[in-house]
Amino acid sequence: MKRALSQKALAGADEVSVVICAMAGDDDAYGELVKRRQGSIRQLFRRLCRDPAHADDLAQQTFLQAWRTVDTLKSPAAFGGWLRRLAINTWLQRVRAEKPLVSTTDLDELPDEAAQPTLSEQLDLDSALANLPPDVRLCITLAYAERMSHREICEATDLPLGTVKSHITRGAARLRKLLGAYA
Amino acid sequence: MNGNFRTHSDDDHDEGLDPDLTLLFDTGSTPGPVTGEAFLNSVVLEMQRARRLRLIRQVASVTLIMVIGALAAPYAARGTLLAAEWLMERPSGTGTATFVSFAAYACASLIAWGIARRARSD
Repeated sequence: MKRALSQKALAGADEVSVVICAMAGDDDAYGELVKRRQGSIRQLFRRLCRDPAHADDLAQQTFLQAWRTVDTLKSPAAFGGWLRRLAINTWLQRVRAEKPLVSTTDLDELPDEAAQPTLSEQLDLDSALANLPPDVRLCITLAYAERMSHREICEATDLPLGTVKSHITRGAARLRKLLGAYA
Repeated sequence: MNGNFRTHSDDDHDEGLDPDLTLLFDTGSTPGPVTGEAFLNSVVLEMQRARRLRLIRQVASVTLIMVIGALAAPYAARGTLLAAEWLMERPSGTGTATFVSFAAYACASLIAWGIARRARSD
């Protein structure tokens, strides 16, 4: 294990420098990156899966995958986007392993019980999100929580642009319905 | 919430997003089952475990190569000796005949021409 900067120096260093150290094999530097990024990656997964423990498992899987391949990163400045893309791929692999992604038509064919959430569900964004099909949930989360543009989502998920737009529009309408309290 | 990840200005992302939902996503944050410190520790532990496994795999690979090498060495040595013996025992005239043949002369000329050409171009 190479060691370039002390823990204290790492904590104060800008991200690009820390990424460069991590790319050179410094595990402490990578730990610092995990410390800085874990909040957003875990939050992203918590939005995508209902189970927080499962979300943390996926986040851990993403960070380990990133650790194994960080030396292949072309630009240290692109670390954040690269990590997020890894997270999206991890999620997509998990969803596709379970079952093929459902199309938007399925969004309209959800059982009525999903359209009439309980009072607690109305107040719970995560519960409402869990009622959406995985690909719609992913598009909605990336658009609203990660503030990604439609094109960025299209590139990150390999879904056609039209599908992404449709997922976001119809998914948002569905969410509004599920969260009826504020609509 | 996701300030670190934003790569575009907010104007780029407006694309018809529902402001109420946007607000809800910005304010709603689900607490995780473990703290950030515990999560970091678990990732570090996994990294150490992966490193140990990688080291074990490397040691096992090197050991396997050495064992295979040790087992194959007598056969390789015997094969080399047999080849050397065959070379020593074959009729001595064959080699000389090969070297003085027209084909050998042509090949040698071609090689010499190639070397001379390269030397000139340098």
